[in-house]
Amino acid sequence: MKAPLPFLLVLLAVPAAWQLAIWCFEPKPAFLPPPAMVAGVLWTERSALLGHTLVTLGEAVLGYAIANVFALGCALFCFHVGGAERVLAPWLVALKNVPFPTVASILVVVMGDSLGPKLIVVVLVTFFPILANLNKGLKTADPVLIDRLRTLHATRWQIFRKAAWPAAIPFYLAAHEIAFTGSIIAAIVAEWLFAQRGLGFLIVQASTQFRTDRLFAVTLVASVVAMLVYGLVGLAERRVLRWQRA
Amino acid sequence: MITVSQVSKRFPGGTVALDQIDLTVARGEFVSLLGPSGCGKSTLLRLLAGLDTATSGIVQVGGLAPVEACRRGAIGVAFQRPALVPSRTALENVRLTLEIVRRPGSFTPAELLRQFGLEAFGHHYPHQLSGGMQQRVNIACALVHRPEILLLDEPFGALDEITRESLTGWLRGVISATGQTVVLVTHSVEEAVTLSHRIVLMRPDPGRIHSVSEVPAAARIGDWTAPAVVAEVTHLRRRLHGVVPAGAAA
Repeated sequence: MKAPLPFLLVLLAVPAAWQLAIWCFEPKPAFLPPPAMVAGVLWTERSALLGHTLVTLGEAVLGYAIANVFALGCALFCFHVGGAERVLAPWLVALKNVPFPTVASILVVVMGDSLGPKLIVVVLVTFFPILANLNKGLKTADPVLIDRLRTLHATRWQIFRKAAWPAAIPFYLAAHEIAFTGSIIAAIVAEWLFAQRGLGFLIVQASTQFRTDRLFAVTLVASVVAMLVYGLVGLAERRVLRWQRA
Repeated sequence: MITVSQVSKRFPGGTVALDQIDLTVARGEFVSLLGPSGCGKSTLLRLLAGLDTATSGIVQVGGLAPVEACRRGAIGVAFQRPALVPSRTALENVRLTLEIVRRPGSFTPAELLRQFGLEAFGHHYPHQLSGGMQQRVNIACALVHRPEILLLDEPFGALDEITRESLTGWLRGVISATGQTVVLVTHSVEEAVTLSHRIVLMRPDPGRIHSVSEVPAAARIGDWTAPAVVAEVTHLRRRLHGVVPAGAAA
């Protein structure tokens, strides 16, 4: 089965099951709005939805980029400095296990409704899976290849570039599958706590107004964005790792 | 060219891998290190390659410490498992050596692969090549910068007997064309006999040189079934049995 086909199946099966549930159980639209009603919201509020989606996406992408810079920096540091990983590990584990909604609340109180808290939440959520995968990938570098490079008197940086980094790439790409989509969820949760714009803000607004149709519309938009991001990572993976299929 | 003088290597656990090793390899000479597992052949090669340091004694390659010889690109090493980057084609893998060490007179990677009979496979990735082809690319990687010394650690050890025989003949041709000094670590008596000028027989516990023998020119030929080869192999095999610890062969 080609890769897009299962996704197409999801796109068809979810609305079909949804409509079927409405026909069978006839719930009130306030509990489960029919697909047509949600489609109506998607159409009439398209420009607002697009604007808020772009805000969330912007925060997610920016936060994710920062997380990547930190994770790559940390991985490089651990690779080059012996024992660094052992020293950093407790700090990273502590950081990873702090409940991020709590951190987000504190950040909102301290920093207010600015970009900062949202970016920090996205970084907190996505940094660890990227770093963990990178560290694992760098360790899979072939020791025989490293020996070959050492006999050529390669520098530590050359060993990283020519042997360790190519070994880490599949792990780095696998991290994106989890972390990039996670960045969108993190941005939404951060907006949820305190924001005037973004999909998280729309969710809070729709729930306080008991607008189930809009909640469904926002959920759909968020899911589609996450799936598109996932697809984008898949495309990058196929392009970068095309040698595996040669 | 290569001088190993009173070299010992003791590992942190206390294991003595090499004990008082003395060996000299002349320029252009092909020397094989032969012996049972654990006799220190690979350890000695790692010392020559600058990948490890001796606990005592002196190792010199071309009058230099091995690490300095590596810095000058004087050493090429091919291991039993091909040291190839899986995401690079055969050609790119050979180029990798030149990306790190540039020496005047280096071979052109594409030309070297052509000489190695791999012209049509330059753009293949390692996983698309057979074991024998991967090993030829591996040796091309070790040779492309034209090092004075080639160190081979059981390069054909993982290959089947027929491929091994054919690649041994091929390697003899390559070395006679390039004129390098070669140290080969091998378990194969046939390989050692048909390739080497001299064979260093080593024995384990601790790793020491048991004896060094000259190989008659008549035995350095491609046909492993030739009488001169068979006689030399038989003679050497008998001596090898003498250095295998009791019970180790069972």
